[in-house]
Amino acid sequence: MSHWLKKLHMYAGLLNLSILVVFGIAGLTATFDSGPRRSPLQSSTRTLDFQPPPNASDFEAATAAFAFLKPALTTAPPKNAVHRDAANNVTFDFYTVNGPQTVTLLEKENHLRVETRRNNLGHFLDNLHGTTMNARITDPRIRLWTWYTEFSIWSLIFMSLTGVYLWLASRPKHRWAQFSFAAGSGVFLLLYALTR
Amino acid sequence: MYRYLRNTHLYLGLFCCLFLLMYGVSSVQMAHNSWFSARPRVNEVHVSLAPQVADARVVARELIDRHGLRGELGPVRATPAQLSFNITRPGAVYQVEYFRASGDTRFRDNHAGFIGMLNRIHHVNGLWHDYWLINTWGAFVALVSVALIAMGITGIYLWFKIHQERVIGIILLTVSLGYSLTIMVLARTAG
Repeated sequence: MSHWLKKLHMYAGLLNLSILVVFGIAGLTATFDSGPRRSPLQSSTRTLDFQPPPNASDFEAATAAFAFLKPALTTAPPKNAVHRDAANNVTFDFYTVNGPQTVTLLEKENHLRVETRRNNLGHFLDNLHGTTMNARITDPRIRLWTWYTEFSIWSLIFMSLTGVYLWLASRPKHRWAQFSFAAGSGVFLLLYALTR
Repeated sequence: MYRYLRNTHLYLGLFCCLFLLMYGVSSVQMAHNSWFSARPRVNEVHVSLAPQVADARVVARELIDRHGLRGELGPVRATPAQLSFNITRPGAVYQVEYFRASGDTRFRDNHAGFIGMLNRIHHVNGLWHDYWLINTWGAFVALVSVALIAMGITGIYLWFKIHQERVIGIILLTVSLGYSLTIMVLARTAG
C-alpha cells in the first residue's frame, strides 16, 4: 500500500508541478500586490469604426459591439453589465485572465473605444489559478486550463492526505515531523476558532 | 543533501497540511458550487447607541467594544439620516444601519457555515487590513505559498534521486509542463 501510495504521490506531484508553482505565485501576489498595495495596470486605448444595428437597444448594441470585437478568453457581457456612462454613451466591461477591458460605444462618431488594462504576470497567474470548471467561458484555451485546475484541486487533496499517511507509515516517531504537523495544525485550528 | 531536502519536504508538507486541505476543499466548492450549500445563517439584531454620531468609525468601535462584533470596517455610505457600512471578517459579515436621529442601530449578522468559512478563508489576501486576524491569515497565505513552491522544487529533486522512476517521471513532467505552459503562453498572448 505505502509503496503504491508513494508512487502515486510522486506522480501527482510531477503532473502538478507547474500549477503548484502557479498557486504559490498567486498566493504571494495576493499577499504583496493586492488592495491598496496593488501595482497599477498598464492601460491602452484604441478606437475602431463601428455602427450599431439601427433601433438596437443598449444591450443589443453592446452585444453587437462584442460580436464585432470577438475578444478572446471571455464571454459576452450579461444584460446587467451594460449601462450608460456619465457622457450617456453605452458602455460595458469584460474580464479576461489578462485584465479588464472597457468598451464604449461612441454613437455620434460611429466609433468604438476599447480601453485595455493589462495586468502583470503575477495577477495573470492569480487569475489563472482562480479559473475553474465553474467558469462560463467557452474559449478552448480556458476550457483546457480548467481541466488542469480541476485535476490539480483533487491532486492537492490527494497529496495532502497521502503525505500524512506516508509519514505515519514510515517515520511516525520522527520528532521534527511530529512538531511540524502539530504546529501547523495547531495554528490553523486556533486561527479558525478565533475567526469563527 | 538528499536527507536534508527529504526532511524539508516532509516538514513543510506536514506544517501546511490543514491549510492545503482547506484550499483543496474550498476549491472543490468553488468549482462545483451546486454540490454544496454555502448559505449563511442570518440573524437580525437591534441595539441602541448614542444619537447624532457623524463618524462611522465611532459607531463601529461602539459595536465592537460593547456588542461583540469582530472584523474590519468596510466602505461607509452616509446620508443625512443614516450611516450604512459592513464589518467583516472571514465567514462573517455584519451589515450595519445606524439611524442618526434616534441612535437606533440594526445589524444583520451573516454567519457562514463550515464550507462558507473555508471559502472566505481561501479568499483572504494582504497584510494591509485593520483587523489583526485577517493579517495573520494573510501572513500564513504567504508562508504556505512559499512552502508550496519549495515543496515542488524539493519534490523534483527527491524524484530525480530515485533512478528507477526517472523515465516515467520525465514522461509525466514533459506532458504536464508541455500542456500547462502551452496554455499559459497561448492565454497570455491572446490579447
